[in-house]
Amino acid sequence: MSQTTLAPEPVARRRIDLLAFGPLDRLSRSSFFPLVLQVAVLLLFAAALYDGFFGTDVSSENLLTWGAFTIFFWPVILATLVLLGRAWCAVCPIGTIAAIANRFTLGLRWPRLLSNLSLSLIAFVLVLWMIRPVTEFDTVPSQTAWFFLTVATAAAATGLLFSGRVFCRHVCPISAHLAVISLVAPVSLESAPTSGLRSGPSLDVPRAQAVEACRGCTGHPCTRGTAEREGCAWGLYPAVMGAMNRYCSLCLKCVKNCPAPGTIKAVVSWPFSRLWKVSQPRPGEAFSILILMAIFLFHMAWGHGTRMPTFVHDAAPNVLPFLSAEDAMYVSVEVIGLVTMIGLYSALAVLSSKMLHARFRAVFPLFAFAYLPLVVFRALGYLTQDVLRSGGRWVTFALNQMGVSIYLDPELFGSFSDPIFEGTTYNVYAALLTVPILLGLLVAAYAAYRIARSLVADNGTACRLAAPHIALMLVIVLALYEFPYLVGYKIIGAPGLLYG
Amino acid sequence: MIPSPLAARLAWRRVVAMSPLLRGYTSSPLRPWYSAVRFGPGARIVFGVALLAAAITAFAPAPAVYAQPGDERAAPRLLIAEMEALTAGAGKLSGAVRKADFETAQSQLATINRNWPAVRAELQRREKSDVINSFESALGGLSTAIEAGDEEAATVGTAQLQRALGAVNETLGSADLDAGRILGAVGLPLLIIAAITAVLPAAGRRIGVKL
Repeated sequence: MSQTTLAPEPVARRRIDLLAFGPLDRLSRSSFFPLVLQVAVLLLFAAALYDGFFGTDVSSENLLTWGAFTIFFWPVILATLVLLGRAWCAVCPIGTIAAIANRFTLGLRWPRLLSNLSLSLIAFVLVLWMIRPVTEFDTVPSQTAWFFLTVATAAAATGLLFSGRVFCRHVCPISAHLAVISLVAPVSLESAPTSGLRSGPSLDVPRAQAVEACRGCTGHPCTRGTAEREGCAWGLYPAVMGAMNRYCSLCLKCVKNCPAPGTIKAVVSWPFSRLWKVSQPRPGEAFSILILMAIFLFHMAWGHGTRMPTFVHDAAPNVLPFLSAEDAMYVSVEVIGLVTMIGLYSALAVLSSKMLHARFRAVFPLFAFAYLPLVVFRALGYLTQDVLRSGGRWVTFALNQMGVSIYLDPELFGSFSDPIFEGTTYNVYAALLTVPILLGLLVAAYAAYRIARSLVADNGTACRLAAPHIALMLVIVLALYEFPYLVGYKIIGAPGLLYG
Repeated sequence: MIPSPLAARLAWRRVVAMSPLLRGYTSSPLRPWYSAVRFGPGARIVFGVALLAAAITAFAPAPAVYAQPGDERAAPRLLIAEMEALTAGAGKLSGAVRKADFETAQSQLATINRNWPAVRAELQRREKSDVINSFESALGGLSTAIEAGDEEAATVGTAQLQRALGAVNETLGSADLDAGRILGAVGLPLLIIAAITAVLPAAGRRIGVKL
């Protein structure tokens, strides 16, 4: 691999450290954090599991089916990811079960072959994306309960057998996605800035140097633990962690164990700004982003009702005769989306590798992070739409669970379903699906430029390097995403070539 | 509610298992390999109260949110599915009547009739007989008009039904508090969380597990 010229290191700026704020510092050092939250979420999980097995069969009223798929996989995890990175992982009940089992581990080593994101991605694609709607384990409470019981058992088994957070890191079906989306968050745990720590997705990343305060530390209690408290369950070493970390769950055990207070900081940076500081990006992470794009930008646009092209509608049941017509169409759109995204991106990765005179394998994961804002803005728009459309339902459900009998209109803030343009069905809800992604396009284009800029010193070369990716973003957003929505909302007529 | 023998046995086993925590120490002449660890008074009090509350709820469990209608002991049922079906049904019914599509109107009427009993039970529990009467009278009138194919009467009936549904919405929109359940659903978990959290550090030290 040829050596690529790296951009000069930016001068360290003064940054905000949340742990310098008294109450947060005390919270981080308290032995009850995150223990209280872990216990609370574990109890809630146990109650939900009980409800799944023995509660109502109505999925929209079951604490497990509704709570897990409508609330936790969506608003709670997305909101915490965007604001606090992988903070959810610190309190996740499955992770807690794995951690409890890990206290009594046999200490076997996890196979090196599987020490990546492949299992996590396969589990996500097969179980949560493709098989979920076919088996309906997201709609039948008892099936949901069996699913979560199986996952919890798998977590406990891996915890008992292997040392470290093997399940959370390599097996959990959402681990890969949590890892990449956590880079969007403005808060990250890192040690004091040092000139030795190089950030930026360079092709030849030098080994990170520990900060001054950590060089004299021999025991490394932050990662190895003390006599009273365990160290980082994820096996991270905060001294060289830097901003590029995507596995820190902000459990703050390293902060509690650190003998030199103030060394590890909870640094606030601009949202999305860590996307162009990713060091040692992995192909698994790039695939994770491409899968997210296939779901959020392709499947959601092409896979429903009037937005589905006629050829998929007609051909899918014949291509997959062993599935029902509806499931065949669902799976077909998923596969077409995944192949389209991976194919288009791989073609550009080849082009980028030629321009950089570097290996394809090294270049492939680099620019994938630039596409993440498209997914995140799309997801946030969808979440806002969900809050406006179903917020009343969520409040009704929660209050009734707590003994307050009430029924609120699902559209808690009033109805926004009146068309904005006469003769169309385009309303505020539709706007929330189609407008935020345009903002995401701007951020994604800037991220692509910054990644290119961190690879080459020359501004013009950086622009040329980023240009094909920005062009692909435009194609994805306008042609693959916005186009079917505009057809679906009758803003433009349905072209005969695709819609018969 | 009379507890089952199994529930009583489980409750007793729980008390026996937790007794060292209530005593305040863990050493036992039968288990000399356990080191004696004292629990602080705060942990003991919180744990004792949580245990007491758990015992009370074991003998008188809080009724489920979605107990079936018709069960007199049942708590108010979660009415999300029924109310959404009623609202959607009433909307489609109006549309069908406007188009004089009485077949669709009949099917929507059946949907409303299927979902009404659960809502009625909740209104009855709240002693809102005027709201029930108004809805049922509108529904009855509309049903007769649709069966007779009387478009004018059906249009008047749908307007009445919408008004009555508005009244149902308004009634159910006001909160009805169940102090027992609030205590059971919020207070008890908080106590259990506090108890477990207070006990875990000492328990972890006892069995040699780092937290």
